[in-house]
Amino acid sequence: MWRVARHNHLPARLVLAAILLKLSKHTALLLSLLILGKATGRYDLGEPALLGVAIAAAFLHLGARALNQRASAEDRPSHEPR
Amino acid sequence: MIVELLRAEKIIFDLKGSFPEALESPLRRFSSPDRLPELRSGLASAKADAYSYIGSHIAIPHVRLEGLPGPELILGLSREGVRLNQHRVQIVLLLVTPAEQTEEHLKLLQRLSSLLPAIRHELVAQRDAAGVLRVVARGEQFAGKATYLNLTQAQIAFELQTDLEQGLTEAEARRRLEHYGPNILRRARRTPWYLKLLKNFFSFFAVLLWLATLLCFMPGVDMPQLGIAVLVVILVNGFFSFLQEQKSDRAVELLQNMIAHRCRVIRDGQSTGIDAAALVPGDLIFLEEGDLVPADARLIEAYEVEVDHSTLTGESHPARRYKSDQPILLPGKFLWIELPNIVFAGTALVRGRARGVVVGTGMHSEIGKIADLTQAIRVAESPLQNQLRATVLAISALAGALGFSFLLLGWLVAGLSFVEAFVFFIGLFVANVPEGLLPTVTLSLAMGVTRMAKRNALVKSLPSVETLGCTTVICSDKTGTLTQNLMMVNHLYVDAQSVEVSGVGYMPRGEFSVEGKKISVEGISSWAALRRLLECAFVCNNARLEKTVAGYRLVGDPTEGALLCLAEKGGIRGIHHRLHLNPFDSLRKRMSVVAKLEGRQQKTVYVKGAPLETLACCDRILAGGVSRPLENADRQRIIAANDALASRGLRVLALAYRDDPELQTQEAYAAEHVENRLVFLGLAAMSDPIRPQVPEAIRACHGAGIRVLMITGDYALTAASIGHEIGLGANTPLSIFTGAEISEMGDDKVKAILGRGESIFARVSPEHKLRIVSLLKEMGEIVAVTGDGVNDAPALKKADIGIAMGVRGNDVAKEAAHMILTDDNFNSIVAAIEEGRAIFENIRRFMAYIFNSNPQEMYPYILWMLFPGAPLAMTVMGVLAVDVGTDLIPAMGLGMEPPEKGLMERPARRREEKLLSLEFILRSYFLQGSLLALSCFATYLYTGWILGYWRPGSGLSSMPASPAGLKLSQASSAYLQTLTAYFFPTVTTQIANVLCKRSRKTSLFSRDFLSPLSRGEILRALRTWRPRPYVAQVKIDYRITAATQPEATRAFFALFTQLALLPFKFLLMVISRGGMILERPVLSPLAARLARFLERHYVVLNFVSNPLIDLGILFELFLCYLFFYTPLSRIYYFAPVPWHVYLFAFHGTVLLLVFEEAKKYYRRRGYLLNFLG
Repeated sequence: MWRVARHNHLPARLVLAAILLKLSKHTALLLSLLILGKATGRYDLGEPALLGVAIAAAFLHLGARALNQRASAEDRPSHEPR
Repeated sequence: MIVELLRAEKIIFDLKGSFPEALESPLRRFSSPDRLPELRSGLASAKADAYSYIGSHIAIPHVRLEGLPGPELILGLSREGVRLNQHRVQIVLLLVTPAEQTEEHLKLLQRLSSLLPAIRHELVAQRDAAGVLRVVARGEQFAGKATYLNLTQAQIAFELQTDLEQGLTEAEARRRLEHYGPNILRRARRTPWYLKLLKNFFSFFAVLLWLATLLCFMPGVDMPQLGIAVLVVILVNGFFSFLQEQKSDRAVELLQNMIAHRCRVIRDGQSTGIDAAALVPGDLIFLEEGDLVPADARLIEAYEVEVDHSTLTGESHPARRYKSDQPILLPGKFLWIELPNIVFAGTALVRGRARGVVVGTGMHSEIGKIADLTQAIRVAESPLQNQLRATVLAISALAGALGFSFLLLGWLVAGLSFVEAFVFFIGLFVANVPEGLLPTVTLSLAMGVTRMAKRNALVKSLPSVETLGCTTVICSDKTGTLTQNLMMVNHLYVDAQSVEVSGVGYMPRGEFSVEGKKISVEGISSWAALRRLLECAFVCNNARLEKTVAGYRLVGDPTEGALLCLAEKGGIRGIHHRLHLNPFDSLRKRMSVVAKLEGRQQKTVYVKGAPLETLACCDRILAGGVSRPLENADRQRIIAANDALASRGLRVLALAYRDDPELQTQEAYAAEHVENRLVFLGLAAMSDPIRPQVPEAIRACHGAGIRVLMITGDYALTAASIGHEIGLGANTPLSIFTGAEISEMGDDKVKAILGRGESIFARVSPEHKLRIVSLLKEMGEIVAVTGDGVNDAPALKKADIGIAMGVRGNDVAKEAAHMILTDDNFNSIVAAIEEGRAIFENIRRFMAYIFNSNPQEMYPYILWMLFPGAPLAMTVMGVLAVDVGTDLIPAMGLGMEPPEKGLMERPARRREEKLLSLEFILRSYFLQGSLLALSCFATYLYTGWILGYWRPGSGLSSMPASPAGLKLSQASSAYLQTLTAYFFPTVTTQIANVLCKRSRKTSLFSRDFLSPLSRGEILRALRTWRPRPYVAQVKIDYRITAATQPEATRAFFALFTQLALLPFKFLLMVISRGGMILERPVLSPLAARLARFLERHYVVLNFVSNPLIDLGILFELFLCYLFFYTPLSRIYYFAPVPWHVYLFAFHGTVLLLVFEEAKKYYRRRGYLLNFLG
């Protein structure tokens, strides 16, 4: 049974949320590696820059969650009386 | 119900003596001996009133005691009888119920008083407990439902200790409120807020930040200030995540909203308005048209009361309700919820006014029980969630173990410092942990949800989508789901002939035929009896058909709509002057209209009603164009015709008229004056026609190995007729069971029925439905269940897939369900199942895709550890780059592929079937993954060769060496180039991999890759594409005046978000305006040309038909540019390589495409080649 493929209504908000979530985790992990790199002399980054990476990761994470919740709130069926 | 409460050890034989002494024996069996004094005192204070349901041979002493766990029954039997007043009592049934369960108490009394007289003789004849239980069980089947008038108003007043004139006193009401609790629906206990908060501080993301914090305090790192700052970030992030999460299940709030908030009550003889939460059992309440019923109440006064109880039962028609102590109006027996002298909380009075005594409040009302059931059912994790979680944990453990062993080897054997070795641990761990799997699966499910919504199925909870794919049983409603939820007359019996009528819905067009021969409009006009019957159907009717854009809409009762439609099909039009209407009455079972037709002076009575009752009022029949006396033979013939039609599950009405001279002079038009001496016209049989697509959908279900069970409240015959019509049971005999029958069966017997073929369950209550669903689940079936009323909520929640009806269903059913059908159509369920299966397939595809990249990341470490002198071809940063670059977006693209051809021809997936088997993981890692890794090493060596380091035949140690101690800041340019050379093919091979994984059999270069419909839709969308205008909606409010702290916080963040988004919105607006300007001259012609190009070059269309995959490929290449040519190269440690290295890296793409196409070629020829993935 064939059916029509429809790609024109991609849940863009969810895609963006997933990307942001991935980036937030990537950034959080990057932070650990940058801290280790700085300790071993591989990177010459200041502590404020490292804190900036942590804050960026937190913002990405919160943004992803907000987008996710907004998308699921919009998907929720309405409760208006019949 | 009774048999469930009666235990064998609570049955006593041979009671003797006079009553108080004889009662001692049952009292000794009471399960709480310490409360016996209380029980005796209760019985003594009630005196003879406590035995008020005596009859002459039965006594039911009953008491309500506080704090009992549940009702208790103790049965005493005596053949010779026990003396009580002037009677000899043979059955003594001691009933003790918890004091707060007032409604349950009345329900039991009502049921016992109906049951015991019916089985008295049989019961007394029994010798053992097993026999007694058997008799009670059988009795409940046939006499278990209460009759209308088993409890009188005086008895109700006694049981509830209230005054039916003065109501309760304020003091007593206060005491009861304190004792029984408020009339509200309570929430079950939820996860405490502090645990939720704690969970947010230890999410996976937070753990990564915790890791960074710990590192800051480690010796050798020593950055305590940064550690504290990151800690603050963790706390703030966790707190805001917690605030975002404060949303939960709203089912109970919705139920609570259905109950009135205020009501009028009589207390101390005074009428007063109170908060409905303060109502207690025994309160007298007033109800008027439009009121929501605040609590379950027995009516003691009722004037023309009609109640909409659709919220409770799903039944859309208002039902009449009567006061209690009238003579029996409605013979027969009812379920408690059907009793016509009780109104239930959550229903609404649509007509009339009433006074009632409250019998049940809060969680002890019927709606409270539903709330309790709904909350009691735990939402289990879906099979896919379980599997994924287990797999991720197993792989994580494996990765952890592997990483740890490398940490030890690196630290103790290879001579790295602990911190450096720890970096390796992180690298390997990250390379192997599929942490992106769960969010990607979630996203794939969400995409499936979007696709399903387009097929009229709104899925509420994401895990339900994949559960849909393994559905093995669908328990479907009949009305509105399998049928069209309308009535259509399809058979007439007139002039001793059977007439067939065709048509669609309420469209007033159709044909009349006799034995297959069509009757023309002229033929109808000249057939006196038929014409008169149609006239009767038209005039004796209150319905109206309205023409709408979509067709015709009925205003009024569906049965009348069917008759009106029938009349219009026969060409009956015109106006008439209605002189009088005798509305339908459930006693007469008839309706009549006295009217003068246009152009006629004489009055005519038109009557329609139940066949036997209407026939009884007829003494003539219109046959052969003349009215002649109705003979006995005619009556027998008509009754036989009625029986034949009814046995096919059709609803039959008789039509008759009267226009004799006596009527012309008559002025009294009441029913008793005009509904007699009627001329019989004929019978009209109607049914709810099936939805046209349903038989095809049922066939698809059979092909897909899915069984369909019909569960309906309708009569068995009607259900069977529909079942046969839609092809239920395929070619096997269809079993039909009623709710009463399955009540009598044990679980094993019901399971045996449920286990074989397809069945119909008719006249079932919500409890039966819940039981069927529970047993099916116990049998290991994956069950999808449809429902529309509040009472369906427990079954909907219990099912693997609860499906609520979007049009007919109420909010509570929708809230409890996992999926909502926007068109109430069975076909949409099947479409959703197909989508569910496709989603599972897609999840397998993208998991294989994600796993394929892991060996590319792992092999360099293994080689570096195992072969001293071999350089490390991929650093930890490279691993992270692969992780963020190639895994996510293309994987999501695979998740939105449409179902493949033939998906619904396979059997349903078994619940225990593993999404990820060991074989699957090994194949993904070591076969497909190793192939990709080979390409990476080939490019790596090629680069070493052109840089002058490596020669064919020499080992890896001749490649540019890793810097000492892996200090990448000191790495040579050649080494960084080799890192790029190894990294870039991970991207190019994954491009081929993702394209190949889009289908299992069909070639990517074939015209069949996309279905004609898909292709047509994409091209049409491209041809008609227009830039959309974007207007930025910016609302900045400087005043934060909200009263509460959370509102003020929300307002502040809303303002902050608005300001932050302002530049983006402005940019979007500028782009949109530019697009609008360029639309006519540039964009539209360009889109049309592109569509024409793609139409001619279908292979190109195949490649670009999944935009997310294309976007993912572009994103990967863009990231490569950022990593190689921007300052990010200093963080990720890459360096640009000559152009021919990039070109060489695409050899993997080509080889993989060739390999996969060859595999698909053999698959199309019937070779499965599963070992190749």
